[in-house]
Amino acid sequence: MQPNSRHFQANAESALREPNLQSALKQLESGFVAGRQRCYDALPEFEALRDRAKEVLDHTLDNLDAYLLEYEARVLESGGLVHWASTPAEAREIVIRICRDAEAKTVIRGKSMIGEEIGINDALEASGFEVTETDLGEYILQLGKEPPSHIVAPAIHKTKDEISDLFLEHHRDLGFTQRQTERSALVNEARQVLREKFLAADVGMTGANFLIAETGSNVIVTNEGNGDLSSTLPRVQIVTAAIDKVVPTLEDASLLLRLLGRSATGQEITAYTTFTTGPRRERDADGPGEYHVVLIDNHRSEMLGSELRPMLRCIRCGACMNHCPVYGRVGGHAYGWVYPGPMGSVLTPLMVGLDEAGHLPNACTLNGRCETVCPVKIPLPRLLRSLRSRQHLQRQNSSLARIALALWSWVALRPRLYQLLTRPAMALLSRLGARNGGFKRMPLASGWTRVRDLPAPQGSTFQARWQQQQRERK
Amino acid sequence: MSAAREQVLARIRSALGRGEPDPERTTELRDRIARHPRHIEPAFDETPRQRFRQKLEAAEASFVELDTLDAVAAEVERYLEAQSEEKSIATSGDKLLRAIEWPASIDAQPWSAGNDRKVSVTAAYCGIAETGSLLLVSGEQNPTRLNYLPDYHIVVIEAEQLVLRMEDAWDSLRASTRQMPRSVNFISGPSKTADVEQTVEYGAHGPRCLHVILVG
Repeated sequence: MQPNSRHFQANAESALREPNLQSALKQLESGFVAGRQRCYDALPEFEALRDRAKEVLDHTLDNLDAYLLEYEARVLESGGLVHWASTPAEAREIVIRICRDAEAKTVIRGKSMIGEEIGINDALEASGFEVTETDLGEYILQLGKEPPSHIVAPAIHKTKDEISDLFLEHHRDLGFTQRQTERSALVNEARQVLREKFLAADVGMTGANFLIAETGSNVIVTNEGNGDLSSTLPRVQIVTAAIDKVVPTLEDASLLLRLLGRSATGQEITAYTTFTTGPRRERDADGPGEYHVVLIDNHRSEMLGSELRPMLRCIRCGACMNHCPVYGRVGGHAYGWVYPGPMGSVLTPLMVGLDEAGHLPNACTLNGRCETVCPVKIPLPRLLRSLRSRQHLQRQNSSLARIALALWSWVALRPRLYQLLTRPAMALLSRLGARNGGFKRMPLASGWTRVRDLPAPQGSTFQARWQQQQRERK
Repeated sequence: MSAAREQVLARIRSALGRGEPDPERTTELRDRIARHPRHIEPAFDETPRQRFRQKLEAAEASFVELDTLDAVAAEVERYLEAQSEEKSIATSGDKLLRAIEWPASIDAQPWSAGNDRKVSVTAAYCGIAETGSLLLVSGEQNPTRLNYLPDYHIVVIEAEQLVLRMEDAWDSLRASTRQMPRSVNFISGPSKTADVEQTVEYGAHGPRCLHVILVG
C-alpha cells in the first residue's frame, strides 16, 4: 500500500472526530487490555517468561545467518523450497512466479502482516490472479478496499452496520439477498462464501508466527481456522515470512507461544496453533503437493546492525498498541501504513523512510506503557527516541524545532545559566497561574493549550527543591 | 543459489560484524538444537485430567469421560441426537477408531476424497493438560481436513495420552517419528472470531462445535 504517514497530524485530527472509531477504541481497554491483565495476574511466571524470551530471541539474532541456514536445510529435506528476497518487489515477483508455474488462477490468503508489508494482494490481482483474504477481519477490509488498522484485529474500526452493508453489496450476486444485522449471521454468511473459495483455490498463502530451525516448520496461530484451511486444502502452499521469524527449536517456540496469546488477546492459547512442515508426504491423506517459503529481508538486516536491533525481537502481539494512549485515541489508520502504534512507529520509518514517516516517532508521549507490557521487552520508547535523534541529525525535523532544541541544549549544558533562567520563570508562572490553577492560553505553547489547560508550576524548580531536600536531610 | 540469498546473508553477517560463522560456533548451535533445552514451564495445581477438561470447557468445547472404547459409538450417537444432526460421520482411519464398532443406526465412513461430511470423528495423538489442547497429526490415516472442514468435530483421546505440556508432546513426537509430520495441529476449542466489533462468535471457518471424548 502507498504510505500516507506524512499526513499523520491531519489523519489523527479526523480520527478524533469519528465517533464509531472512538467507541471501538474505547472497547480495547475492556477487551484486549483487561484480558492481558487477567492472564498476567494468573501466571506468576510471566516476568520470568519475558526475560527468557528476550534471551532466546537475542541469541537467535546473534546467530541469525546460521539459524536461517539450518532452517533452510530442514525445509529442503522435507521436500519444500526456500526463496530469498531482499525487497518487497523481489518477494512479489517470486510469489507471482510460483503461482504462474503452478498454473494457478485463484489464491486464498490467511492473514499475514508481511503480506500487507509487501503489498502482495494488489500485485497478484494485477497479474490476473483472483485473491481472497480469508481471515474475517481481512476479508471485510478487502471488500471495503481498506488497509488494516490493527495488526491482530485488522477491522477493529468497522461497525456491524458497515459490515452488513458491505456484505449485502458484495454477496448479493452470490444469492445472499438479505441484509444481515446479527453478528452471528454475518459470520455465518462469510463462512459460506469463503468456504467455496477455500475448496476451489489453487494456492494457499499464509504468513508465519515462527519458523523452526530444528524442523523446518512454520507456525500459524489463529482462532478462526482459516490459516489451517489455507495450508491444507489448496494444491500449493506459499509461506511468506520475514527473516526475523526464525527460532532454534520447538521448545523455543513453545516458550514464545505462552507469551503470544496472553499478550495479544488475553488467551492462554488460541483455538488453533499449527506447525506445518513441507508438502504432503507420499502416503499422506491430504495436504498440498508443493510447499514454498519466501524469506523476506526488507530492511531487517539493516536494523540488525543498528541500535534498533531489539525491534527484531517483536512477535507481533499488538500489546504495545492496545496499551498506547496515542493509538487508543487515533486508531491505526492515522499512522498511514501497515504497522501502527509504537511498534509501527519504529518499523514504518525504517521501511518506508524517515522522510515519509517522520511524524510517527514523535507521536509518542514516552509514557513507557508499551515497554512495560511488551512480552519480549523491546525498549520501544528508547527506540523511538533514537529515531527522533536520527531525524535531528539528518535535519529532517522542522527548522523551528532544530533552533529550539539547539537553544535549549546550549542553555541546558550551562547549569548556572539554566538555573538563573528557570528559577524566576517558574516563580513567575506559578504566581500568574495561582488564581486558576493553570493557563488556558500560553504564548509559544498553543499546541498544548488549544486542547487542554497547562497546569501552573508549583513555584520552585526541581533542582531547587532537590537541593533544599538534601540540605534538610543533613 | 540465488543472488538475493547471498545478499541477505552477507548483510546479516556485516550487521553482526563477522563473516561466516566458524565451525565451532556452528557445532555449538547444532548442539543447542539437538539438546533443545526446555524453558520455564508454568506450574499448575490441578491434576492433568482436571486441568485438561477445565481448559477445554472454558474454551466452549463439550467434554465427556468414558471408561472404555466400547462406549464411544453410543456416545457419538447420543451427541448427534442431542444436536439434532443426521447420524452420518466421516472418520479418520486411525488405529484407535478402527477398533470401534459402529451400530447400523450410524452411517460411519472412513474419509475419502470428495466425501466431506458435516461431522467428523478423529483420534488425538495426545492431549496437553496445561492449555487444554488436543494434538492431532497428519498421516496416511489422518487427513488434516477432518479437523477443520466439518461443522462438528468429535475427538477421541485415551486418558493415557494426556501429557502435561507442549514440550512433552515434542519429546513424544521425536521418539515416535523420524521427521515432523506434515501437519501438527494443536486444537484448543471450536473455531471462533472476534472480528465483528470485538465480540466473540463461534464457527468462523473451522468446526462450530468441538466434542471431546476422553476414554479410560
